[in-house]
Amino acid sequence: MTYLLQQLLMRSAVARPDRVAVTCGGEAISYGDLDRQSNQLARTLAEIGVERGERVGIYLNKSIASIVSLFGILKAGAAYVPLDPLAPVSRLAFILRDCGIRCLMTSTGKVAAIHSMMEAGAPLHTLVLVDQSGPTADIVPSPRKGVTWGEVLRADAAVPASAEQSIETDLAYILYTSGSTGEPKGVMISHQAALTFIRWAIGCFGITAHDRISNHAPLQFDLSVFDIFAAMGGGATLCLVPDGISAFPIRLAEFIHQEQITIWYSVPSALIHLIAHGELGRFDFRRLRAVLFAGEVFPVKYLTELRRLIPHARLYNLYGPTETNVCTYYEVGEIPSDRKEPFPIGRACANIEVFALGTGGERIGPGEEGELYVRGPCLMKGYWGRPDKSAEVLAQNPGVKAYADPIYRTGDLVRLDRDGNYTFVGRKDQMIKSRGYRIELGEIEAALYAYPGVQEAAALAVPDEEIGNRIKAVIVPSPERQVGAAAIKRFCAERLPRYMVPETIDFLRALPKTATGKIDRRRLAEMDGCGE
Amino acid sequence: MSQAQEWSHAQIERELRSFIAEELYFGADQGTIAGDQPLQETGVIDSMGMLRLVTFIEQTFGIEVLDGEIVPEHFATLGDITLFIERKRAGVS
Repeated sequence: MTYLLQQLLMRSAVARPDRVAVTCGGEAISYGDLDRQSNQLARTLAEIGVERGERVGIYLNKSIASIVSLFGILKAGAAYVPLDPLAPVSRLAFILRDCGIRCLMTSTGKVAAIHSMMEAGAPLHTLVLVDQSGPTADIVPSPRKGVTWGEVLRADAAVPASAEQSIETDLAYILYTSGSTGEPKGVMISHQAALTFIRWAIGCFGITAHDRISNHAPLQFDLSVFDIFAAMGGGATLCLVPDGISAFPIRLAEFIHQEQITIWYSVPSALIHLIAHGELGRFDFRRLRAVLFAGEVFPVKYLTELRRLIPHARLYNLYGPTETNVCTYYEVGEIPSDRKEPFPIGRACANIEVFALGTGGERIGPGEEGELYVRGPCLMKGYWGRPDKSAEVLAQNPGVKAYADPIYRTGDLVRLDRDGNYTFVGRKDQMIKSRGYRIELGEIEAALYAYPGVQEAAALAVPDEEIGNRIKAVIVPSPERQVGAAAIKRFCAERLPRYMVPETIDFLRALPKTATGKIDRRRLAEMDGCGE
Repeated sequence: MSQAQEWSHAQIERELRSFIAEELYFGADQGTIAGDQPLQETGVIDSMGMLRLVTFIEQTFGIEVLDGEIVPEHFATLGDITLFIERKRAGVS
C-alpha cells in the first residue's frame, strides 16, 4: 500500500529498475539508480542529524540532482522546501529563517548567495554540494559543514529504515506563495494530501510506463508535483525541460517533439508562447496524447488554435490553489468556432468535495454565483508558523457540529453551470495571476512603501491576453524627494521575485480615493499617469 | 530610432545592455552583464523577457525578427544579439 510519496518511486524501482526515470538535457537516470542514490542521500542526511519532520531546502537549478535530492529528503522522513534559484537573496533568507532550514541541497556556484543568506540570519549549518567531489573546507567555512556528492555516494545504498517510518499525515513539502501583508507564506502539504491528487491523476490520465511526462514548471510551483510524482507512480519517464530552453519557443517545441512527450502540463501562458511563436505546425506531435493546463484562465482564442494544431491530444483544464492542489478538472472537447467564453474549471476530482456558498452562507444552485470551498484529504495542513493566516482560510464545515471537518475557502468566485460544472468568474480579494504565478498586490505594495520617498503606492493588474496580467505601480512621491522608476524597479527586484516586479511605474500627485478613504482601484485603473 | 540611423557595434551593445539591465533584470547594474554571459541559462532573460527584448529590438533598430530567428544562436549572449542585429541591418541574415 502506498501512503508516502517516496513509495511511488520505490515500487516502480522494484518493478522496473532499468527503465529511465528522469532525463534532463543529455543526461538520464534509471529507476534503480534514482532509488539507490536517494537511499544514500537519506542515510547521509540522517548522519548529519536531519530528523523526521525537519525541513530541508533544495536550492538547485533544474537537474537530475534536484529530483534525487527531493526523494532523498522524503526518504529521510523530512519535508522538502524548493527555493527559486532566481529569487532575490532577501526573500530566500526569509524562507530559510521562517521554516528553520538547517540543511540545504545546493551547488558550488550558489555558495556566495548562500553566504549572504547566512548573513541575513538563515540558520544553515550544513550544505550538501551535489556538484562537488573534493574537499569543501574552502567553500564552506567552519563551523558550518559541507558534504560532497562523493561522500553521499559512498553511503549504503540499501533502503534506510527512515524511508517508511513516516506516516501519511506527516509533512511532505512546503511551497511558499505570495502573502498579502508583504511576507510569503509556506503552504504545508502532507503525503496524504499530495497522494489524494496523484492517485486520481494517475488513474484519470491512465499514466503507464510508456508515458513520457514533461516537467516545465519549477519545483517551487505546485504544477511540478503532478509531473514528478505521477510520472514516478506510473513508472513513466519524467523529462525535465532544461533551464534556458523555455525562453525559445521553437526550442521548446523541438523538445516536445524530440523527447516524444506524451503528456504536457504547464500554465496556459507557456502554451500561448508556444502557440504564438513556436511554429507548432512544423512539428510532428503524434505521441502527445494529453495537454494539461492550470494556474490561470486560458483565453479561448489560443485554446482553439491549440486544438487545431494538435487535434489528436486530449485537453484538460485543471484547477486548484496550492493549498488544495488540483481539486477540479474539465476536459475541453470540440470548440465551436463562435465560442468566446472561457471553459469551466469543471467538477471535483476523486475523494474531494467542492461547493460554493452564496453571500448568506447557503449552497448555491445552478445558474448562481458564490465562493468556492474545498473539503477532503487534499487540504493543506496550514501555513507554516501562521495559525492566524491558516484560520482565515480553513474553516469548520457549517452545519457540522459533532466533529472537526475543515473546509478551505478559496477566495475564488465561481458560477455553477446547469450541467454541474463550475466556472471561474473572479477573485474576492487583491490576488491576481500573471503567467500562472499567484501574486498578492499587497505584497508588491509593501515593497513599494519600503522605498524611501514613496508617500503612497498602489499596485494594479493590467489584463493581458498572453500572460494574464501585467503589473503596473502608481506612486505618489513625497514632495521633497526625487524618485525614479528604474531605481524603484531595482529596489523591488531585491525583495520580490521577478514576476512580481512592476513592468511600468506611473507617478501621480495623489491617488484617487473612495468615499470611505480607500484607494479607488477602479478609477486608478482608468487613469493615465506620467509613465516611465 | 529607425533603419536610417547609423548604429555602431558598441552603440548597439550599449543600448541592449541598458535595456536588459533596467527593464528585464532590474537587479543588475549594467557592468555585471558580460558580453559572453549565457543570458537565459543564468536567468537574466526569461520567456517573458525574451518577447519584450524582441519588441525592443524591432522598435529600436528598425528590423523585423521572425519567430524562427528567436533561437539561442542569435540570442544566447549579448555578443550574439549584437551580431544578429548588425547582420539583419546589413540585410545578411
